[in-house]
Amino acid sequence: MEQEPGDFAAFYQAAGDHCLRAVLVVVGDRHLAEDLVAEAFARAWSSWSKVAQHPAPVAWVVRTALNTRISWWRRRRREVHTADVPERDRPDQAVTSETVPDARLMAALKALPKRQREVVALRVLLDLDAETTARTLGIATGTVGAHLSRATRALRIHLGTATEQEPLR
Amino acid sequence: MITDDEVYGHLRDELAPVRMGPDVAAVSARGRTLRRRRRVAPAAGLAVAAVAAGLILGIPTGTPPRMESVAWSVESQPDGSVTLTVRQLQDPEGLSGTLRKAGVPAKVEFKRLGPGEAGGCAETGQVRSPKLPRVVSPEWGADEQRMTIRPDLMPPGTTLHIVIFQMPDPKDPAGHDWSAHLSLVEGEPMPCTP
Repeated sequence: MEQEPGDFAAFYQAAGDHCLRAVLVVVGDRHLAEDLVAEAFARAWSSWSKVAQHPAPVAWVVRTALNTRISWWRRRRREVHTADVPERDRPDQAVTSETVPDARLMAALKALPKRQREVVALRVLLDLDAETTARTLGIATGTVGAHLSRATRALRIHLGTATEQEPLR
Repeated sequence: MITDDEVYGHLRDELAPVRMGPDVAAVSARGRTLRRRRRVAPAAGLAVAAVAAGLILGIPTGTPPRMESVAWSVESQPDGSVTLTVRQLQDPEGLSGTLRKAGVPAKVEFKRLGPGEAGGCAETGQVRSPKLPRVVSPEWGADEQRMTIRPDLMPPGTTLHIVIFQMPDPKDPAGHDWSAHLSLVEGEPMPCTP
């Protein structure tokens, strides 16, 4: 039995949901985001000694997720069942919360250019600083601020419209 | 006027209920597969030759003991459980014998199905133990089938019948889907027939 990489489990528990939300903001599809993040974490597991030394492991995971196009986890969900194993023991029963955020918010995010969504994901949802965000996305630090500013403006308009109907929580 | 912080706060609040489904064990299992694939690749040619010659590679890894071929591996764990990983449908008789050596009375069958065929075995009338879910914990993947077996929980005189099916993936011409029929029967399992 191979050794479990030290503190990987703690990292996954602490960062998994945050990475999922960040990737969801970029790709806009709940299941795809989960597939990509799960695969990225699996890759992090397989190279944990390297990833653990990364200055921002969550940025590594999100970058990897966004660069990944695989169907492994999705295929896993639709595996044919195992005879004689009760429903509760089948793997596809233990999948995931189907929680999907407000459709209007997701539409507003989807309307943003991809680079702006990436900046929102890293700066707002992962709370990375501008330098780390810039390094992760391969853009200039000043550009990060510009993208975030434009995205914030667009989302504010969306919120202004939304709050005409219901108060902001 | 809505402030920037309120915009970000709203975004975080809306996304807060979104949580990862796969648990760390599933992610680790996938990571293990990725790592193993990296390690196995350079030795694959040698291993294929060994299997072709009818050999099973006993790869010493200290404890626990591990028997492995390119197609599958059987690993005895310190807690008494046995981990079976099937990557290719080859040499079911050899795998059955290896499982028995590891303390798991088992009969393994591999079946490849054509497009549209469903995996399954006809009812044989043999007595099945209801303890199967406690004895076997499967983890299904696209690249391999993995299961943890607890031979200590098998009722005396029972045999674990493992039938693994592989069929074309209708959505991925280069891929395939798996399914399995598992049962815990008294005595020697009868062969699986559709």
